[in-house]
Amino acid sequence: MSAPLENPFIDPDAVEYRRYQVELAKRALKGNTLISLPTGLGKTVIAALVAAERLRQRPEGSVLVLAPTKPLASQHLSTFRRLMRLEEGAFRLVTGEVPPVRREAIWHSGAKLFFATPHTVWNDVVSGSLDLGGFSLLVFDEAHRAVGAYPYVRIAQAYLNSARDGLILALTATPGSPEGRLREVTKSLGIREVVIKTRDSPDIRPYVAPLKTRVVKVSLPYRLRAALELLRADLTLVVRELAAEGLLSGRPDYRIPLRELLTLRSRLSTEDSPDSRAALAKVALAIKLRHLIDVVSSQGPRQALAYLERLASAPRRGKSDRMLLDLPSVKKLPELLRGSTHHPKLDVLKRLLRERASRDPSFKAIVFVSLRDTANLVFQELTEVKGVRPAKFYGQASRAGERGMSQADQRRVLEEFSAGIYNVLVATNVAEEGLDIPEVDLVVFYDPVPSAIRQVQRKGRTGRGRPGEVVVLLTVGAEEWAFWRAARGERQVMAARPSTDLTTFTGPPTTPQAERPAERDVTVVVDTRELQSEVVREMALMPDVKVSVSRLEVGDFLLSDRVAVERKTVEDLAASLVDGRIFEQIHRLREVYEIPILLIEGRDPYRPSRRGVSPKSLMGLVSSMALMGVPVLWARDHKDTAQILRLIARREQLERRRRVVLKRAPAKSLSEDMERALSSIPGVGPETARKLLKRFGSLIAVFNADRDQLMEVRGVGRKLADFIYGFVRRPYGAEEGEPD
Amino acid sequence: MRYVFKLVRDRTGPVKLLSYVLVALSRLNGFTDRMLVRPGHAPPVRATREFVVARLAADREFLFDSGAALSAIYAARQSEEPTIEFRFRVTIKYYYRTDRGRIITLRYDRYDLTVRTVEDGVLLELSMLGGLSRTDPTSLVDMIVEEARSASGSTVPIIVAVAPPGGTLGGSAR
Repeated sequence: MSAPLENPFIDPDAVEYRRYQVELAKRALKGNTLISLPTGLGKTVIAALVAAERLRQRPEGSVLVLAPTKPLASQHLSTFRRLMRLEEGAFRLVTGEVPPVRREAIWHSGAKLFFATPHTVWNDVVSGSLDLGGFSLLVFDEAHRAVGAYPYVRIAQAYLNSARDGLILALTATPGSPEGRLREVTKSLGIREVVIKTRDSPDIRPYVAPLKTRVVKVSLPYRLRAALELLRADLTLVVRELAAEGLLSGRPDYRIPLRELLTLRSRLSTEDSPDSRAALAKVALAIKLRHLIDVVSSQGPRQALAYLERLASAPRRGKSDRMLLDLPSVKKLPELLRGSTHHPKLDVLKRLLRERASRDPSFKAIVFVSLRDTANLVFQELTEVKGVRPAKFYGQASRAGERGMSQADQRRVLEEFSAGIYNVLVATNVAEEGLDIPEVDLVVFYDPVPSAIRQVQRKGRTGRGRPGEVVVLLTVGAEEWAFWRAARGERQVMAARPSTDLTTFTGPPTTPQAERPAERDVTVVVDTRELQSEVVREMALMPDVKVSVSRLEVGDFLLSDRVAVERKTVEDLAASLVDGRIFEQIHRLREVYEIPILLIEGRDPYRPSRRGVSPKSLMGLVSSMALMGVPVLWARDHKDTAQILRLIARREQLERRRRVVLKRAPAKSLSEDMERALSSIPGVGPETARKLLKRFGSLIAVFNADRDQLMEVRGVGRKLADFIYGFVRRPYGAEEGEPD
Repeated sequence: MRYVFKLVRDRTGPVKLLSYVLVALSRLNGFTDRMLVRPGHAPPVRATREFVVARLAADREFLFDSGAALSAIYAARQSEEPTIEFRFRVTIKYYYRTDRGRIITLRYDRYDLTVRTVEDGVLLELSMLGGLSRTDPTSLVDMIVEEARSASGSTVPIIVAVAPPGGTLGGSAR
């Protein structure tokens, strides 16, 4: 052991010296860099080395480490804490679970290292509670995500615009091809240099164990084959009908790529004609049939029947659902699948694990499955296999009839898996990326993933420190194509020139750091519900606009003490006309602000595509607004909207010297006033306020309630109950701190 | 040509295994699917394949449905004979519809099937009576075994041994 970089913040006893890590950290310190390293080779250590050096070089700055998920961010925090010699308060975790008010305090707490999720960071940047300019280093973990509308892209842009002497370090195991994703990622993150190391790189090889991949082909039982044949015949018919209408080209049969159907669906959904609506239903039918075929071929009969059951018992069935359930093949499916209990892959898997367990009782394995239903089934079957102690590992989202796994549950399962209480983890795709799952001997792909990136991430769970094996279960005649296509893509994902030891690629130049933005001189107050909209993103990038976020009672944007704007896309406008909401919204806006404005966004304002609203009705609505004295403005898209809002704000705030003042809408009743009073307590939203008042009957009763009584109300946990109890008893003017 | 297959399963007696085979045959009766066939020298077409299973008893054929299977199982359980045997005729029909709507019937495959208990399992003896063997004996037995395993409701495999054409797999009677 020796100190990799002579740095006072690094604990030399905690870091095993690896030459390539030090070399990569030194390169990363020279400019914005993307480092691609196979999984399990210590990307986090490199990030810690770079962070320590930046903290030494610029003691006034701090470091922000971004990771796509909460568990991953929390895991990075633990690793950094272990590797670095800094006091406990220097590390802070900021995720969406922390309320915005508290987050602002954390950002200004003087900590040195922040670990956060990108959506939270972006929200705080937009609301003005976080200035990225103060960070001397931004680390983007799983940087291959920095494409399209993912917040990494916006955060990087904002950082490049605001940091005086900033540095970006992007880390990934799957950089993508140089012409495709890699180019986009480097552009988005302002990367100057890309360094790619593979398992074959000479300095990496000593640290990686051999990895064997084995494909096991499984034949479908004849009943499943017959079911597939029928479904495919029906899908071919639907696809041919679409091709006959000139909507699809190429090979019009059941092998049509899903992407082609999705593109067609989004194209048709913007058109408004009876023909396109009929075609849209057929496209939706084709997509559902494809899904059903996938479920039958790779998941099994039980899942397919459960899918049909869900469709049949849905309270509101769409046209395509009805068409699907009426297809002859689908009607025959229950009869065909009734005899088959499960997919034959399940037997192969059980045999594989049984053999493994008898050979090596201390073995550990992960079985990746695509659907949670399948995870449940596989888990259940594996509980009966001798020597196998399975555990389920899936995401946090709750589904019908089943709660998701909380973060604490996930952590517990991983710890118990690590400790050997379980030896097989049956995981959905949440376990694919980033999480530092303990070393395993065997990874099984229960079903192949069509994505090359996901395939690499799954494989990366084994062959880290000791030899590993990957077993892919493939259904003959159904899944082979998807697997081999992903395997081909994997070679591209793993770099353009894998044989090269060190690939260097110069990306586009970063924004000159001298270009500091002008001081923001106008403020636009945005309603919290608009925070995720493209308009806010656009305004946040305007150098002269400061976006402030507040819960507006009326309107979406506040531009001065008298101008408030209600923004509606054409679709929203049609929907709000149908339910009559628009008139109430405008009336309330007029009551509060002198100049209420209705801004309509969309290319063809009188032709909303998905609503059966006639253009005349919309014209009538606009006319009514004009007669009510409400100005109506049109904008083609979110960019136009942002520009119009900026111009109005500048006129009001700079030329007419008007301030932005938040006004409260007159209450509809005294009860509403009471709800408002209670919801002004931090952490108490309108819904909780209503529940508290309903439970206790009056404000005084709520204030007098003790902690346990407060916790009887749904939505009020221990923390909130403590806070409310302390807050209403706190002496006015008392210092900030924990409530009594 | 006679083909002999022997089915054996762990911890399953011959009568129990026979009852699964009987249920499998009743489920196979009436089953249809589609397969690619080549009618003569014409290009391949997707034809419907239909299975008809009939029990042979007293020189007559009785369609073997689920009710018939139940009574056969009952008879097998009650039997005190050392060997229990049932004879079946399996007919596999192939037909397709032309673009003009005409139904073209192809030559059927016909097999005689004898199912017999032996000491440690069940023997299936298949004799080809006619047809082009579009569904060969091995595929047919595979289907019967798949269905039998499904009927058993367990994932324990049924092991199939194949005798050389014309040969036997022996096995003394129960």
